[in-house]
Amino acid sequence: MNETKATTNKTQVELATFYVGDALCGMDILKIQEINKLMDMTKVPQAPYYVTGILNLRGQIVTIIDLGKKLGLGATEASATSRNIIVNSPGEHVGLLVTRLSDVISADMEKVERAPANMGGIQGEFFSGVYKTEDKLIGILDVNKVLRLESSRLEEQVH
Amino acid sequence: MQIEDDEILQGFIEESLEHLADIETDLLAIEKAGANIDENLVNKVFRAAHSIKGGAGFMGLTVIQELSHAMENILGMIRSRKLVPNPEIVNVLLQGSDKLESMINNIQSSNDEDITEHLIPLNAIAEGNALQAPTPKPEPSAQPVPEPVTESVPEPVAQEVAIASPAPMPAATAAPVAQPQQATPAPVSPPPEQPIEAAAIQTAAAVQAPPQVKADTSLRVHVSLLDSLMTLAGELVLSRNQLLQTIGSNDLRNAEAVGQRIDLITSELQEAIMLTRMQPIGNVFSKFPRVVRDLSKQLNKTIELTIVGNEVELDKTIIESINDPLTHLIRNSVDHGVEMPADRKRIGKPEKGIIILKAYHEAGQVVIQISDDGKGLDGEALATSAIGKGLITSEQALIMSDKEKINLIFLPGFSMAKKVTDVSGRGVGMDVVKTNLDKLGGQVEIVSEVGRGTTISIKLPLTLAIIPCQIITTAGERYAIPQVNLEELLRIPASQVKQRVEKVGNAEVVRLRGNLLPLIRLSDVIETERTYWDADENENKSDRRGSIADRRGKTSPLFRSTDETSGEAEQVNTKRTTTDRRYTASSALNIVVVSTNSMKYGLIVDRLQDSEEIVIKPLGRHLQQCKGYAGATIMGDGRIALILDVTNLARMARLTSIDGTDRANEVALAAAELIRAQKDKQALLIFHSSEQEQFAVPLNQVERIEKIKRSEIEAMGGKRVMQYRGGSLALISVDDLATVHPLADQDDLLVIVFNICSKAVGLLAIGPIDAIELTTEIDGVTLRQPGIMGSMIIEGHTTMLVDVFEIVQTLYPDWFAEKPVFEIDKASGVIPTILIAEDSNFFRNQVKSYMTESGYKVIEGADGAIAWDLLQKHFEEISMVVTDIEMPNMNGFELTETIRKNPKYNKIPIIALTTLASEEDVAKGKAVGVDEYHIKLDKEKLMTCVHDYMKRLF
Repeated sequence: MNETKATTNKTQVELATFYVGDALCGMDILKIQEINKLMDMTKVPQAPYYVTGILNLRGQIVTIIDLGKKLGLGATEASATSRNIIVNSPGEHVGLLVTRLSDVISADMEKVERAPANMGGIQGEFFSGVYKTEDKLIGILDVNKVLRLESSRLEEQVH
Repeated sequence: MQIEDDEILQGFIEESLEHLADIETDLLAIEKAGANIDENLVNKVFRAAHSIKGGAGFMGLTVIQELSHAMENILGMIRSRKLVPNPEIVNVLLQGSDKLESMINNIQSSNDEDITEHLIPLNAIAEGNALQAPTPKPEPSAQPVPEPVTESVPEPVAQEVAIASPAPMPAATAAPVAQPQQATPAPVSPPPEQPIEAAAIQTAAAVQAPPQVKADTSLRVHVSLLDSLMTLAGELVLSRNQLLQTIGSNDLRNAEAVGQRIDLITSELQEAIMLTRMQPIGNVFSKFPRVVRDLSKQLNKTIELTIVGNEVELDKTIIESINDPLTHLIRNSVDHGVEMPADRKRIGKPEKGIIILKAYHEAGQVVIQISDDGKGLDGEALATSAIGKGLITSEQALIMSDKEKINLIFLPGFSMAKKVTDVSGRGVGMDVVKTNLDKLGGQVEIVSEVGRGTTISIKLPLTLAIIPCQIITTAGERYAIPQVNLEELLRIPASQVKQRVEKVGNAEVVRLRGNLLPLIRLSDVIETERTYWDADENENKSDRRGSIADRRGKTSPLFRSTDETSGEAEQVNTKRTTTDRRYTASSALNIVVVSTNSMKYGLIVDRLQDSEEIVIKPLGRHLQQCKGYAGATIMGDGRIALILDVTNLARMARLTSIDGTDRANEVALAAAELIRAQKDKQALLIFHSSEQEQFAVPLNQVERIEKIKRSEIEAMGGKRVMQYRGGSLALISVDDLATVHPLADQDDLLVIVFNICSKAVGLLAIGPIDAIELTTEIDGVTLRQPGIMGSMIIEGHTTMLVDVFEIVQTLYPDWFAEKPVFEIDKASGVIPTILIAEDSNFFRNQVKSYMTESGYKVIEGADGAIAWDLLQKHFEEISMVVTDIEMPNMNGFELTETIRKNPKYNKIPIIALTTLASEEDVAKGKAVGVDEYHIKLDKEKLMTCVHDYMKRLF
């Protein structure tokens, strides 16, 4: 009993799932610092296209990234359901703006499949894998990829 | 090598570095004293070396121990007066302490260092005196005996107490050092074979530089300061309790009191915490005597360094970062500033050069000044060099001020040295110094006089953490501008925008106390929507004006981003005649005048708000590319405001004095143009004939203006007249000839009386009327038609310039029957030629048309210089010169003078045309040889005069 629990614990991961537009995405809940619905952001002129603004999170400046824009699904509108998922990034916190939250599910990481090149209009590179539940398909977000700076695009924007 | 306890090691590093910093200064003092040994001083250095030796032995840092031991030996000999310190000995000691410092900074690899080059001279000095001085021979390398270790470790503790004055403090800081005594004597067992092992790795280690262990993680704080912090913290807790209580009991009056109290305590707390970070600048200054000494020796110069203001305190981070830029500047002064002694003697300066390093407080900032009495900076030479390096063009150099030329040394890729020495000019130039200082929020200013010396002033903020800022709003968001950059706030009322904001060429400028200040619109630089604040309705409104002064003209590259969108809007604006936003108070311009180094510019914002002390918070890495911001801050309401980086904003708008020389060029030209244009003003009377259209006539043609009622007009014989001063006054209106809207149907009319062909004629008009002076270029093409000379934009309204002469000529041709026309001598076939010098296309064409109408041939020149060339070329034909006064290159006076000086031309009649003939000008004109003065556009008088002269000539 104990043994099986230990082994399942290794592969079982709690996934926080959320919608970006109509796409269901998920990420390891341990990577999330908090989720809030503060929408009183300050716009930053000339910021990269995917940055919605900056937010005061208890005295810390947090950059909010519109996950919809970043994944190529179009702007996420601030609404009653939209939330900021605050994640840790080296040296700072970054917020990911999502359309709405869904459930937390327990996923067996061994059953995660490779992400297709394109998934519901999102480039496969942003996913570390796909997890199938009975009725849903969850794209597991590669947070590092999402948070990576877009250097080439930056260049274009600057010039 | 294994170092068991990081904390102990850290303690050792910090303490040793402090000792070393002192050793350097003290050694220099010992050198100066020479044979006259100050025992206390030598003792102090001796003890310092001893402490390092002891600590190093304890830590198993054998190489450091060995070197410090060798130094200690010599110091011991000096102390017991067995050795007289001379520069050579001190040199060896100094080099030794340098080596120690570098090893301590790289503590992990210190045991792999090779110190023989230091040991040999040290031991030689010790041994050379060994006969007279039987000092204990240096311990042969890596064999720290356990005994001296336990002995020497307490040493630093004891010394700490001796050096530092307030007793409780060193106890706290010395604690980590004291700790190992009771705790772990065990780790102290350096394996004897280590040096061999180390030698093997040495080459490898040398290749890949080991990561530096920076020893700046702790700070000494005065206990009294800590005490006061503690007290303040206690008070804060009390106030918090009070506040909670007040909130609980809903007592508003008390809340105010508590609020004030908390406000007070927080400010005090802030100040006290700031103080803990403050360090005397002497910490940095103290190394410069050595730098100057070594360098001047190397360069064979004699230089005396005077240091003033060691006690001035600055934030720790600033102290740390100011070191490198200062070193560079000092080295520059020694290397390039002060001349060789022989050269100095030749030009009558004392052989000994002087460098003064000074720190002092000024206006809430700390100023560090480095001045030398050397050869100074030659702006011209710098400019030539910059041109040679392709950094600027010679055109740019021409219009640069001396200050700008001197500032060229801050350009990347600019090295002042004619030849590269190993002292400076190693590719790391002043640009790096400037960048570093910019990062600190500092400003550099150079004042230099060739042959007399250079003074470089660095202004630094006291602290970086909290800065006072001016809060402004643009496009609905708040921004903070650091007060350091703030010069003044300027509000131009809506009614003055037109007069004070000029857009000439591509540069928009505002006239401020006689100077021209380039303007940048914040919303354009950071590419947000243009808005303005409507004070009446308390809201932001979007602003579609193409340019500040709303004029037609080239749009600046500055506004490239909005050109596509606003291009059309601007076209519409220029045509708009009814409602102009500029007349509403809400569109007054709010300008924040900011300065960055030598550059000053105006930033146009929507609203000016309070000045606040803000805490700088860094922006996330996704926003690092946004160069316009220095960071962000959290405002009282919890929202974030971005802090503007005015230096980068100027750069983004191509406005920095050096980067934006093009722009500076434009501004300078614009300034010249403006001054010229100001003199070339045209006085106009503005009136209306119908609601829709605005007209103007030259004010100097107007005799009088009368108010009449429509009923006074009588229609007689197909003409309109009215009784006027006992006679009949012929009345005309603009629509009699020109295709414009008919005269408005209203009872109150105006009659503008002109005098044409010695007859009075009245032009019917309606109000409002206004007399203005302006410099606008008149467009003689677009709206030209019979009765209309041309058009111009006056305060946003397209205005047609009425040609009264032409109207009268058409309506009353018989008036002109007796006009004095010059009869061209058909027989001789000579057609007299007139040379016209006039820079304004409109006026030139106008005058030309008068002349050709009367049968003269015309040669035109766009300015005085061109006209002079033409005159020389076509002298045979030209019988008369008609010239404008204000012209570029060569003005009318100069042209006249040039013509009159030449005996060949001095008979030629010269008629000067002017818009406003002041008595002064007339006198000046007469003095240089102008024959007649006439007012532009007064066709009748001008032509009469021309005919008169022609009659005399032919």
